[in-house]
Amino acid sequence: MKDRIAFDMGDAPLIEMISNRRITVEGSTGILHYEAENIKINTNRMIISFCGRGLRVRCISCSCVEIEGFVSAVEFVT
Amino acid sequence: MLMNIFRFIKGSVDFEGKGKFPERFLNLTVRSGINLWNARPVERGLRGSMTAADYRKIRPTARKAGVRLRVTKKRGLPFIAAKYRYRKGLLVGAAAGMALIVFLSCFVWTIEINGCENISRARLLSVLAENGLSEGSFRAGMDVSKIKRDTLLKVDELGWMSVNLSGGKAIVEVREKAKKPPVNTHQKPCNIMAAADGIITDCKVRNGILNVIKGSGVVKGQMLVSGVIPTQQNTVRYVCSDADIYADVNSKKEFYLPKSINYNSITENKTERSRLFLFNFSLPCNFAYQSYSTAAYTRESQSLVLNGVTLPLGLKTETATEIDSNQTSLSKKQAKAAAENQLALYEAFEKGGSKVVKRDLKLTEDKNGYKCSASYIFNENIANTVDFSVNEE
Repeated sequence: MKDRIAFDMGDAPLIEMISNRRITVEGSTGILHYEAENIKINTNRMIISFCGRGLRVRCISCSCVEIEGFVSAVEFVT
Repeated sequence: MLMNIFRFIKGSVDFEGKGKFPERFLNLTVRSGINLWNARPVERGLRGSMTAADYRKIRPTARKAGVRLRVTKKRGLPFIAAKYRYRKGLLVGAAAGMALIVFLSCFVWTIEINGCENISRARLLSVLAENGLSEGSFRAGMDVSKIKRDTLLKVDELGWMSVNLSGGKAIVEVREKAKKPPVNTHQKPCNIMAAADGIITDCKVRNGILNVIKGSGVVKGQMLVSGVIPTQQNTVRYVCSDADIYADVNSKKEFYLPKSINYNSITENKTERSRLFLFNFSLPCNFAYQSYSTAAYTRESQSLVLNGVTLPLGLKTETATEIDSNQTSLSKKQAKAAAENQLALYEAFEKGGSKVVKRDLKLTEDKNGYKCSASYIFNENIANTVDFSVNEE
């Protein structure tokens, strides 16, 4: 019998990507860094860093951020 | 689209924020419940847009985040209104224009009728006007269902009708009734008698027993088709005879043409009077004063058509053409032509169902005119239905 590994997702951020052009991050607690080449978003668990060019925040609310632009890399900083 | 209209009405500003922590400004803005859009990072700051009301509230937040804000563009109705606030005439004009549009949209400007095939459009318009729907009638309080009901009651040929008021246009959709086929409701037993003297040329019997043959001569009142049919049981059956019996019938038409006749001719003298009309109001466009003792009048109406809609605005022109009355004397040749015309009218209107087999016209001249005598042979249906009663003892 295989061991079952249980993940407690809890308040982990939900990231939705449409190609590398549009990203929606649900569960954000704020923007830490805001530049056209790099946007860092703070969540409860980690910091998500998006690198690319022409990045901009299309829409922002208390818990959700939508980023638009050409994303070349996504980094998770824990 | 809807969002843009909403933003235009509320008024929005494009701003540029310069400072060390633009991201902090973003976070604080969002937390204070302010909606921000088009946020773009620029060197040492950001650009974005928000409503004018929110921009007034955001200053303390910007100060807290160490960002200096500067408006780059103002958009929307509040800014346009502020720009023209000293030009009261514009506002009054716009309000008056709006009021005029609202006022004019309270009237029916044009009536469109669809589906008329045999019913006259002019007749339908006049019945609609009698019932309260005409060009220029007030829309508010117009009882469309009553108009529809009353029109359907007045115009028998209508089977269905719908009146739709769309802006200043009334669209009337009609469907005409399908004509009922003629049904023979005659139930009593009957014979068919000859309506005139003649020679039988064709017989089409649908019910009854034919008593004559093709080529036989008949006199008026003679039985042609009998409604009494003998059966195989040596009894009789009484039926309602039904037949078309065609015969060549001799007929004579006489009339008199006087030699001296009054002849009216149109001269080249014309007077045109034009009037500009709007609904039922009209204004004269020219003041032609010349009038004639006898004249023929023609009236022409030209309405303005805008985008396929006929407007109740246009030009009515009345033309009076002088008529010259002359007394002339008819020559024999002219009298013959006039007699031919009169006979053609007689054949068309009085003998519509008959075919002319032969016509012989004779003109006799006397002191005052011409005596015209036309001998005809018409081929016509001489069947005349005559009921008979049966007494059984």
